[in-house]
Amino acid sequence: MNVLEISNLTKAFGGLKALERISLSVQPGEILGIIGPNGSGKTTLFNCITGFLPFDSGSVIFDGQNIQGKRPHQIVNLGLTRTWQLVKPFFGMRVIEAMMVPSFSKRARSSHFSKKDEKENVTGILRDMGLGEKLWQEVDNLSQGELRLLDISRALVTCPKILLLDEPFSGLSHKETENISRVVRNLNSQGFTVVIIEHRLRELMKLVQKVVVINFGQKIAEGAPEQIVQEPEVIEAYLGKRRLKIGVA
Amino acid sequence: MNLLKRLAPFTQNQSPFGLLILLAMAVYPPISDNLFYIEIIKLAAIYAIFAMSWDILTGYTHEVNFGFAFFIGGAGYLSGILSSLLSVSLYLAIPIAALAAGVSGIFIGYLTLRLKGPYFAMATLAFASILYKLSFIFYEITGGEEGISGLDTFTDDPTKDFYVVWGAMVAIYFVLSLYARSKHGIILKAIRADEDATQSAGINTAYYKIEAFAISGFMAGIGGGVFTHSQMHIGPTMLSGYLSVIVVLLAMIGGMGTIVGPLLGAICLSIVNESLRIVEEYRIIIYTGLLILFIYLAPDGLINLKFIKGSRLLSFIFMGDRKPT
Repeated sequence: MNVLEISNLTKAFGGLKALERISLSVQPGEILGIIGPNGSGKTTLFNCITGFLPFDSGSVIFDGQNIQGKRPHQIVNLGLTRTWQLVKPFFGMRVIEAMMVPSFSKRARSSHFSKKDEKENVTGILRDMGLGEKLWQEVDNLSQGELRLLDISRALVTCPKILLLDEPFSGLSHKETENISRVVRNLNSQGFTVVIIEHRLRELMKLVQKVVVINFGQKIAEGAPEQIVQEPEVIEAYLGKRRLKIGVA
Repeated sequence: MNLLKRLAPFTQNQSPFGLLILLAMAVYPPISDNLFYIEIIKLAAIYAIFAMSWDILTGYTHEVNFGFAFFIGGAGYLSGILSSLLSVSLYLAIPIAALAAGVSGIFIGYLTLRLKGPYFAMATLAFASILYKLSFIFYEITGGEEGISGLDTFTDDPTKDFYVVWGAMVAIYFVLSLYARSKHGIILKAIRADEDATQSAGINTAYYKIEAFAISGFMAGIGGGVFTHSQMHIGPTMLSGYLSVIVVLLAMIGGMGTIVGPLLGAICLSIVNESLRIVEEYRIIIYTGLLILFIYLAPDGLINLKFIKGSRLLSFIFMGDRKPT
């Protein structure tokens, strides 16, 4: 059974169709990549799924439940958590405090038995992420890569069934990118289902099992990474069409 | 020993400096028998209540409430009317008035939920102005420009009266600083940093914002009621924009988002203001000049100065922060 089933999702901003009849499904335990050029509607798709934007028509079924019209925090408590393209760190707090915030959510509370349990879970996640030593640091003093890891750690505290990562590699160095890739692979081997939006195809293609390509709000291709890069429509979306008669008078 | 253990959660992580201020105020009256000075620190204590209860909403969410007089004056008028017209005991009138202020906090919080920055400030300002005008329109009940005078006091003795006010201030200080250190305070700080991210952590941010608004209103309501009865008078100045602005300034100069900061700011500045009465003609100029100077030198407030936050010892003394190594 698909854990997330999106069918015919449509969203328009006035006259601009940001998403047009998008359908895709996510199977439990897989890593799905969503790619597409700038402005193709990837982030809008995430915003619609996670309840930050209302969509016009279509349906989003998560775990057998229609989540249209639910508020963002309710969707998180059902087990669908996202991160943001631009990191949204809790400046002015300590790392441990920032990690406590999601542990106050309904979903996280029902999965831990005691306060001690909760604290162990939080420190455990940070240790896995390689942030174990930063526990008492101010969030303001972390580097961009560490902030990204903290964002993902925060999402993990809510015990998601599906983790939606919005451009986890953007603004990161090569080394930090590899670190994030390793983290995502680890999570997947622990049984997390992950959906990733990404621009940097080289890193993404190594990571995912299935790719969905979106352009101008429409799904143009879907399949395994090796297949996708051969699709003429995908190549056209990324590189443009070869114009044969250029230069002929 | 047992008692000490039971009191531990109240003293743990408390700012030693804040406790010192509270203690110093308590021991002042037995030392000095000058009623004028006692009256001044009583007023300072009341302003501290206002500034601290303002801080729990604005200091922790950074949505500036510019209409705080709504809660102070509203509750003051309500408890004044209850005790003068309906002869309700003031020990009942103040809680009723505070509760009404808390409920109106829920109402205003709900209405202004989606407003941010200047729009939020304007909306709160509008609510206070409406109440200000109403106090003139319904002059038969509120006494119009003169307000309501001759209200009941707590006791006949000004010193005992001071201790009632002091007790209310201490209680509010502890309740608010415990609230700020609890889960609720952490969530409010997260909302201040990024509301969307807090929502995507599975937190119902609207609920926590409204809750903070209600608590802020309730505490201000207690302050307003206590003020009314300790002064035996309530007038439209307690609903005016002047009071709202003073509360904002006291809390900002002390240091927003710390509870102890507004306490410090309110106590020190009120005492400075009153002691400037010896040069009455220049008082307003010197006082406001001083406020501007403070805002210029320490825009984040005295408690939030960099060298205090950066030093282990000072941040422990002022904020009660114990940094684990």
